[in-house]
Amino acid sequence: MAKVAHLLIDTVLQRVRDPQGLAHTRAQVLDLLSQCQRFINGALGLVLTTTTLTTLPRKLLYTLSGDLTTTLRVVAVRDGARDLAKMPTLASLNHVDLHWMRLEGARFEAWVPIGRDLLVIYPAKEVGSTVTVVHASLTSALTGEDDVTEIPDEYLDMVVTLCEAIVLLIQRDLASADAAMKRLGQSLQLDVSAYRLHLPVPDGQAGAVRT
Amino acid sequence: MSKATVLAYVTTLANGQNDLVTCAEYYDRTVEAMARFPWLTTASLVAITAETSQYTLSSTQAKIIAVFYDDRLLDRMAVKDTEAVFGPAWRDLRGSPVGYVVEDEAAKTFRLVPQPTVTSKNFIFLFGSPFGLDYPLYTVAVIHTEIRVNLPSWLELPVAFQVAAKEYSRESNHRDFKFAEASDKMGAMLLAMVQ
Repeated sequence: MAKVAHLLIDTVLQRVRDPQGLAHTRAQVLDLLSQCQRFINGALGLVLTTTTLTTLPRKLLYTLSGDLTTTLRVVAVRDGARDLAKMPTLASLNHVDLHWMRLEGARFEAWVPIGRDLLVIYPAKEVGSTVTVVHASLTSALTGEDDVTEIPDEYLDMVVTLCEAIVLLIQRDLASADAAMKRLGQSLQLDVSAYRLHLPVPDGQAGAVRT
Repeated sequence: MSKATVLAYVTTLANGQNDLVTCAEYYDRTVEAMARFPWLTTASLVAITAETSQYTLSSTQAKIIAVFYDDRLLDRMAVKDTEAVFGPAWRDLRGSPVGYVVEDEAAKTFRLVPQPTVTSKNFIFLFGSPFGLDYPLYTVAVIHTEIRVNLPSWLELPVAFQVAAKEYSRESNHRDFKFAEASDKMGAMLLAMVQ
């Protein structure tokens, strides 16, 4: 169940020993919480959005910043219900066909992300079509204290800890900020698993659960 | 908009101690430095002239990630490798390009190897799809990083920390190396989270 932002603001202000919000305004903490929620989602891919991308005839290269403005990181591309293979680099498509840039096929097979803005969907089709792009989304900005969070409650402590570290930096309590960052780092490590990041799981590790 | 937002964050982080003019300049330098890494990428077409091997990127185009000649992904080659493969007269070699050499990064030039012998077909984008139906024959497509003044919103906070780190490292009445180091660390951590 999502939490209302004012509860998180209270928690952050209590943790930095400014419960009345005298040194840090509640609006400032709200804005930082909003940003922190996005970064935790960027790291863990918790809130995913599915967007339909219209593909054009004989086109492989798509600009995401134009088509998918709320994308933090693409985690999957699907043609209908079929997941396309994620290729690590452009060069890996050369192993499939040296002339892949103009190659046309009956169906999409693979995708390659290039930075944050470009996406190659291989091969091109002769006619226009669509694919489904699944991406870790830029969570909505928290604009009021009654707004609710989007990431699951069990990850909200990470959001609060990150915000706490930033607020502690602002109040120049560097040792405490460093401790909060270390705590967050350790907490994140437990969740940065292949499953969570939607990456292929190495052979022999399928079914393994990190604790 | 992002510059104003980042500078507002820097002022918050600095509790108003920062010099806005200096921070604005640090913002510009930080945004330029980000183009060294593939955060913000784009693709551009380059018209090829027969018997011309050297081409220049525009000022906002930074690092080359990949170069295509027509339908082929070209290999990035070092000068020594190119000499080893094609001989010392490789700059005069003519044919269909198979690689490219970045000879002068400051001049933003790259050289196709071998030198192309065919001029690109017309850049007429009837379908409005330069990388699709309209992709001209014998053209070079370059995928490169880009210097963008307006950052996406998720890069604003990390850049603000990087600007604050620079602001607190310089000689001033508010220099604070420990805070600068902590800011730099936080900026790096935030970037790592969205990498």
